[in-house]
Amino acid sequence: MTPAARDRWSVGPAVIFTAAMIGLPVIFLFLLGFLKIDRGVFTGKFSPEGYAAIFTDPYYAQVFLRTLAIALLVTLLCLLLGYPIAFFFYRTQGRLKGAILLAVMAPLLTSTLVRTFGWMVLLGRDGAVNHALLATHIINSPIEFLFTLKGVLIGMTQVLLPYMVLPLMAALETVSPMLEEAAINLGASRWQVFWRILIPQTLPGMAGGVALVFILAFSEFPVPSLLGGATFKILPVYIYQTMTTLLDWSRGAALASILLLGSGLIVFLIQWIFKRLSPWTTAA
Amino acid sequence: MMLPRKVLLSGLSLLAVLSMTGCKQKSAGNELVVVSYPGDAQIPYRKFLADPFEKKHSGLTVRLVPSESEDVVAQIKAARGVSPYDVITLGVPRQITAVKEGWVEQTPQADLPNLSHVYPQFISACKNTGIPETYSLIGIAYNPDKVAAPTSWSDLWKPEYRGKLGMTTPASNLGFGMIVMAAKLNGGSEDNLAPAWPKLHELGSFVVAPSPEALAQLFERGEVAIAPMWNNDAAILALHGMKLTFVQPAPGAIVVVSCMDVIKGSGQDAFARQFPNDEISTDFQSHLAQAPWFFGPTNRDVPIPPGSATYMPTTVDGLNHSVYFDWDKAVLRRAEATEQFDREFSR
Repeated sequence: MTPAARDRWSVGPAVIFTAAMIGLPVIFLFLLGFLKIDRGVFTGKFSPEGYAAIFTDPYYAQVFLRTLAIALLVTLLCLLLGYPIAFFFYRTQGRLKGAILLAVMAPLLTSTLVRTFGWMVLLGRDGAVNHALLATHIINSPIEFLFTLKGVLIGMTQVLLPYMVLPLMAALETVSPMLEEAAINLGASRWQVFWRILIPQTLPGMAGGVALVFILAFSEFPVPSLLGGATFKILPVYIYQTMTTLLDWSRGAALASILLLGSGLIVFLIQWIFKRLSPWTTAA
Repeated sequence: MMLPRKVLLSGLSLLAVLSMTGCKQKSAGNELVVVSYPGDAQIPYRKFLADPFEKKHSGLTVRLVPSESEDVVAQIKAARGVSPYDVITLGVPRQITAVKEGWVEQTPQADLPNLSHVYPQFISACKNTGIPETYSLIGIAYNPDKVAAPTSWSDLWKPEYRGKLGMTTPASNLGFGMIVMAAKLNGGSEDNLAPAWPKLHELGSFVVAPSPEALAQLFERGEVAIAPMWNNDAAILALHGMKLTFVQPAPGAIVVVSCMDVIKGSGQDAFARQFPNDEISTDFQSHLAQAPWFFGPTNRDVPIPPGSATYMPTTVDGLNHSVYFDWDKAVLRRAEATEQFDREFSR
């Protein structure tokens, strides 16, 4: 057996393990949507009702599109806020670089739930944010952050920002300073260097960050359910309610399958767009 | 050092088998898992019921799992006969469904000698299956510093409460009770909740909490100033120094009986049956009825403490003048109401 063939075989257990641990539950989830389940009791009958309910009722399309729009908005906010942080990291030397990295990573050391409860205290009607805005006369009456889209966007962006910043940092670190120097020597302005050299060079990192943040935002549950309240409807919250409150497991499974499929398709689309924007990364 | 493949595979298989065996044997260990109230309402259950029960049965541990949410029911059903819990407290609406679905057992009366001390109407409310452990009231709690006192359920629609009102989804008995009340106040009934929806829209913007404990937290943080609330939650918040007053609005506070059930398939049958019997003992029920918990005693030998007048009727006659819904009819509309509520008020 050649070393290459041996290498291929050696990944066999990992492939089998992954297929069993990820593939089988996903297949089961998809099939669960075709089983007739009466309040958590399997009736042993097949029925397309779970999927049919979703495709025939426009309410689900609304919830899906709303979830998609919020996930894309959070991804955009993370990109707009994350790039300057990653850029600052790229330009910094010494201890400050370590401090920035620590600041970016620090939120990951705390659970999302704890951070979201923190946001609930900060964003409340009597919370620190409203107190600060009122004290500085920026506003005259408290802003309703909790149980609104504003609060959910703030919370989700803060929670998911590290997942955007870290791939961008990694991508910027691979950009050779010589490219910038060469461009400046050839008469390019700082803005042109940023726009024509740095941005294209970091597109692969951006693609990774965007895909990662989008997947997490599209399936995010604790932040919208806590900061958005019980009536803030996005697909993960709706799936949870369908599964646990209504005990309609087949519809819940069908919705979860659609969430998974939709997420996969959109990530594929994001990757395709970024590849089109950076053809040199696949030219070889 | 490389592990031989056979050793590695055997080890992994053994781990898998052991982990599965561990899951199966949850109930075979000396632990009784009881789904109980969250927050401070659990204190009397720990102090005056679980701890003495452990002392009485050497080697047994009683674990109280705090939850009022439906996800516990989902877990029991998903476990398919190997429930992670042994005993559960259910409000009558959920009790009716649980009995119908057959996942709680009918404890033999011989195992429940204390049942003879319980008001018969409460036994029938629990469908002669679980034991009626307490009754609670849904009334209105308000912050007297921020809003005027309401006197009736209809007052909730007064313009002065706009933007200050909170409620829970019909997934909780508290929210469901409010919806049934809204329907009944406007020509509907337990099996016709349709009049509730336009009426609830008339409330304007209101905050919806996913559970009663989340609603209590909203009160604490000043997000809401008035809301339908359990008498027990209101009493506990008031004891903690919250500016909060509880009223039993006209035509009356809504009475909801709580039942304690043994879950079918519990590996702790003997203990699981004794636990509810101790729960309805005169001694324990006397503790439950005291401040700040004010759980209504179902044991007729337990006097209602006179200091509890704000939070519950102090006489049987007063209790009879409270509101009792026909939950048998209402529960048939619950899933529909939960979905409709989601659709009507989702943002």
